[in-house]
Amino acid sequence: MTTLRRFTCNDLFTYNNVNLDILTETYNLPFYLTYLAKWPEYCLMAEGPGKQAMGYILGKAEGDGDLWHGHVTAVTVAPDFRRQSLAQKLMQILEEISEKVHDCFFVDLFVRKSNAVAINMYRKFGYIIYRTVVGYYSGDEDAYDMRKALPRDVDKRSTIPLKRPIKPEELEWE
Amino acid sequence: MQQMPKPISQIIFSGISVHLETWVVQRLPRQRRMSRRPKDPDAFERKVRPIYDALDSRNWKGALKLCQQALQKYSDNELIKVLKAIGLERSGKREEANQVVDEVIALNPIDEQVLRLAAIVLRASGRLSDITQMYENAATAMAPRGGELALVLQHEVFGAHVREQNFVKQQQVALRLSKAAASVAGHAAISSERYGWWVVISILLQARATLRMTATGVPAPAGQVPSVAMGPEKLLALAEGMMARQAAKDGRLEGYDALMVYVDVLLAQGKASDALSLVSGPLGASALRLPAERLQLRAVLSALSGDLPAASELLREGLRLNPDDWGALQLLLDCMLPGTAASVTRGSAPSCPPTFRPQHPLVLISGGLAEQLPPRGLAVTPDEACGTAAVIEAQAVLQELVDLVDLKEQSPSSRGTPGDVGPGAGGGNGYKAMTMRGPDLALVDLAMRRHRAAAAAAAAAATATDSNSSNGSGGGSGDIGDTEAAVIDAVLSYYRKYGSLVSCAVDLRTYVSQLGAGAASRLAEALETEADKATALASAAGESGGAAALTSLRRRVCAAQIRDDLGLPRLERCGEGVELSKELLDLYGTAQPLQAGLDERERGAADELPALAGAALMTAAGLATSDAAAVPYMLAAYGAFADAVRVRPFGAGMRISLAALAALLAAPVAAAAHMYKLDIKHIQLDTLGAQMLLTPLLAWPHAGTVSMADAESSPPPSSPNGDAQGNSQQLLHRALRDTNALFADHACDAGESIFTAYGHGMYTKVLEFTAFRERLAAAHTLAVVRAESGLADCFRSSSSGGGGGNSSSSANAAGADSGGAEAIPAVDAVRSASVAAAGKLNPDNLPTASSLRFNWDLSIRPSWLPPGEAGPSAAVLEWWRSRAAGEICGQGYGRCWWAATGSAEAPSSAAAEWRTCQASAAAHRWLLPHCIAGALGASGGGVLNLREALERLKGLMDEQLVKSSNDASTAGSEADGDSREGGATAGLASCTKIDAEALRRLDVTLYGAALAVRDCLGSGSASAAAVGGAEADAACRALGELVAAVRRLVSLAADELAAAAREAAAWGGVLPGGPLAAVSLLVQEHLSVAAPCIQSWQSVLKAVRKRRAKSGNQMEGAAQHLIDAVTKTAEQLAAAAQDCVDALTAATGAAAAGGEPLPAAAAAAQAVRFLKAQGHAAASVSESAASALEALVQEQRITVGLVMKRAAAVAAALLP
Repeated sequence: MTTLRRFTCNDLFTYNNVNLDILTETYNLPFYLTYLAKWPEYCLMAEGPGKQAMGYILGKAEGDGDLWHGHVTAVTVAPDFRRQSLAQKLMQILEEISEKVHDCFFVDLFVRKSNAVAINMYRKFGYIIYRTVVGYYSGDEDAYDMRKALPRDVDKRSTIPLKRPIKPEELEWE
Repeated sequence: MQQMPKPISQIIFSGISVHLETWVVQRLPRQRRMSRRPKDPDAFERKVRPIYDALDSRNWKGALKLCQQALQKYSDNELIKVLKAIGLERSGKREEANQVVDEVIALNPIDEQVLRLAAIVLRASGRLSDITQMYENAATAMAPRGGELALVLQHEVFGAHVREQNFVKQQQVALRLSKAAASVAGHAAISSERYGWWVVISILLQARATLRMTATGVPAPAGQVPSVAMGPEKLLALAEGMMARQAAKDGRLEGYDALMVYVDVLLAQGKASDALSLVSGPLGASALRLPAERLQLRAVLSALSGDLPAASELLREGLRLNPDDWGALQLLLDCMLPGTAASVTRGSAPSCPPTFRPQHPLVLISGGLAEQLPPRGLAVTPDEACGTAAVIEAQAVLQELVDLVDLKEQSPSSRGTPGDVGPGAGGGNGYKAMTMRGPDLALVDLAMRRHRAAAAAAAAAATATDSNSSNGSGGGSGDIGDTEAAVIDAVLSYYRKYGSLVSCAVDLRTYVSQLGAGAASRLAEALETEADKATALASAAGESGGAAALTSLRRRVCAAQIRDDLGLPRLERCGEGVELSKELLDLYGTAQPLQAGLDERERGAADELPALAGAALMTAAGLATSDAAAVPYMLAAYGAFADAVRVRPFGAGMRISLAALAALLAAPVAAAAHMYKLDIKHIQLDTLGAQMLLTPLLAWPHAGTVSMADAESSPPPSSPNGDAQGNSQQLLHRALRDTNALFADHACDAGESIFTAYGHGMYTKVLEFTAFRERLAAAHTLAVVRAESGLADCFRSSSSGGGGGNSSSSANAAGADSGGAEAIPAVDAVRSASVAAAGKLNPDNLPTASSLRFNWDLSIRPSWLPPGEAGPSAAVLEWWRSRAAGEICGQGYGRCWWAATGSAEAPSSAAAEWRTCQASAAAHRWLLPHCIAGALGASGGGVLNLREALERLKGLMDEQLVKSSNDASTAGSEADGDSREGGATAGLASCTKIDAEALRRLDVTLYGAALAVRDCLGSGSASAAAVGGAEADAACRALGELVAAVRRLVSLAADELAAAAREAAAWGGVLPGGPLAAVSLLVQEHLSVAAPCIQSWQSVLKAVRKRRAKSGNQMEGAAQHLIDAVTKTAEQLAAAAQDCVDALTAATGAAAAGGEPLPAAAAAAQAVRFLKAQGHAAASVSESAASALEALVQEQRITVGLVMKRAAAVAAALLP
């Protein structure tokens, strides 16, 4: 039983059951507020029956021309609510918004190279490893840039893997 | 599951960074830039670009050097100057930075980039009105020329008013902008339409401020409400009219946010039907791109406008598409059975029908207008309440959805094994159906609604029967039995289906917690049977092994969790707690082989069990016959948790329990280490840090760093400025500083976020961010950290070099060798610290329950850690008092008022009482720096007059006493309230326990005595007036009371310590935290302030004596009397401090059998032997448990040692 609704500032006071999970990053306030101020449709909270946070997704739309895409900034599920495909549901909605509201070509995300569980999960959702970003995580760990093409990218050109690893400063967007 | 932001984003979102601003500037069209730049732009660019690069890479020194070089060529260039100011600001030279900016803005710059960079420096210094002035000047200068740049500058003026929260001026500027944008149509970055909405939002903010002002009675800050009296109704009507005109003009609504604001304004005015028409009509279609969202909104608005059948129909349509939508399921049941809605309120008069308010998160706009107004309820007619036909229909609707879900889940891609360890079980390139528990849980919800209605009807019938004094049929109880049995059945059938899901117990929590004792026992038994069945099935499955075993284990864990939520088992003896913990830990042991290879950061299959086992042990601690006897159970719990975190180092529940136990057992550094291991930061410093970090750090003196106490822990994240290592109060200072910074930074940054939301047309976010800014500014935590920061400077400041030599030399003589916490600061140092602190704690803004917002996430606290009534500094002491009063129980988490989400602000009476107590405690601490300053003869600079401060302290105490007089448990301590000082100080000299309240009363006694002495001394030390006999008598009496109170409290603590130590010898001498916390607070706070007070009085009296002697006069009798009394007080308090030293020495010595303390390792080994003999689980006495216990023992000793040193320093400072 999930109520999917927009993420609000007040969720920051009650999201500890999600954010006390060590794999979930707690960002500073301007970070959350900037996402909410610019892409509120991409910031969703899944609320449980006791109004507790089950999980949430934060994302955005960015890029120029045929690189116009949806980006998953954070997707996380509280340990209590795992194994129910909630992350998948949240990803699905983000993809739907990217496709139907923003008319994007693809969706992308970054993931720690060491996070095999997450990488496998994204693979199952249809994401491929597009390229490696060397030293993306504060210089101490590489990231995979994973992508999934949306229907607008008819030839799926956005997901032809790039052989060469790139450096963070070569990224097209911030 | 989670990814980090790109590193560059971290820079961008630091909010005040240069990068954010350059990033924004880069996005602006180049032709907008107007500048007085040199002729050769390329050469200029070559000079300036490296400066930006240096700033972006945080190379402040390099940037400043480059600026210096660039200024040699372009000496008057404003851009380079402000870049230099940025470099100066970032390298900590704020004053110089402001000077440079002031020079630049004196020349009235109009260059966007220059203004923007200047604004960064001004904002960092909080000079918001100067930013406004700067942009207004620039805009005025450009106005005659008109065009795009004039528009851009006006746009920035609007932003400046947003930062200053001046809604009236915002409105005026927005109006100008919308006209101007229309005239440069096509060129403006923001459309006239959007500026039109800015006007609307500015009006709505005024309406909101007006409503809040009316509700709270507190005048709104300047510029927030209209200057001409205009009621909120008129403002709302005005806004609605403007929105209607704007929408008619544009033929559409800009988007979701515009529509939702429109809906909110209509709902605030009670026009739900109009809102429904709006959403259903073309404007709704233009704004909502996702059909499901629109359908949902129409359903909610139909319900709000009273058309429940239509709402039900729409909700059912939506649920067929998304059967798991809990908000829709709840609203559907509300609409089908309005009498059972949680929001039903019953009229006081019988003729008043009950009303209910349909609720749904879609229309709850935080910071919106509807939120500010009393809810408009719909009348519930009796036949709608909970009729059998309606229940049957609801049941059928839900069953239909259950069938639909079952069908979906059986479709091609089958469900993953519930016990599957990977989060992405299920195959193929694509999605499998999400687990949709909604409709099944709604069946439980329905059963509970029916039962509640039956119980209410039975209660009403019973009342009617009583009042008629006639024999009723008595049929009601049978119905209740049936409906309750139906709830049990529904819970069981949910468990059968989802018992192996981690969330099962959490899902059912609110329902099982409402069951009565008999039903709870029946349910627990039935669950046991079900779990046994699952185990039998799993073992029958034989070698198919892993998955089946895991599923059966999950069912067992879930059954154990539900049993706990039911408040079961009811343990009556300590031994039962030990047995239960063993049973649970044994089960936990069986989980380990099933999850080999699981990443240590993931939640394990049975990680809930150590918490339940710990809870059983804490019940035993609660049942123990004495504080000391509780300790071994707490050690066993600590050991079990420590053993579990070896495998799951980031298990949040376990770490929180460890932190709480360490705090209760005088190990503050370990407590902080456990919390920092969870990487708490930013907003969590408010929601978690204040309760879990400040509590140990304020209660106990501590030294060193986190890593000292917990070698396996990484030290807390270092601050950007770096910490001075070796500062003995490093942890407390860090916690206070970081928490303060959270609020200070947001006060600085909030305006930017709000302005960004305006820019992107996210109007609901403007309202939401405004409410969020208010909520953080009013945070209870902020009040606490502000008061505690000031007090930390007063109580715990290390000797500050200068100042009255007398006390520092005696402190040194007392052997305070580590140059810090133990030494008593000099009088002058305390005085200036208290004046500085008082200056920042305006007594007109004294915290109250109604003015504060309570953001603590109390749901993280286990059952055995109730949110106490005392503030963080006395929370440890209070816990031990609760334990002694039999109030600590580990079972029944689901029944704890604080377990619910957002419980700190819940409307329940328990939550309201907690808030009142917390506000009172915070207010008490808020006043203390004023009292200290007054006691030391300081005045002015925002320091409240001592008499007034004392009156307010007493006033707060009296409020507390009124409250506790209704509370039987404290009746004993009120027995002898005959003191003329009134309730606040009554009976301390003969009180029988030290609790948080006694310590507050001691403050009143201490500052009462200070006031009496100050009355004799007159204003300042230069007083030549004779000391009046009556005043001297009063002062002597007050000092006598102070001495009696202190000695009484110290002797109580000493007795408790001695008794505890005798018992503790059996387990290596680990002492209970209660009496230790009492001594720690008495020494660190009351005695540490009393010492400089007495020193200051003595030096004034000495000066008086000298003057008298010089002029050949004798000291008058009264003055001599006072001198004698102060001297005697010094001796007596020194003796009390020495008693503390002796008591602690005896306790640590006596705790060891031979009189000499055992080494920590030997003591821990003895504790482990004791636990083994007590029959504790293997986990509690494992190798990792033993080493954690050794660290705990070691730290308790360090803490005791620090208290002792402080006490010795006090004694030495007080003796001549």
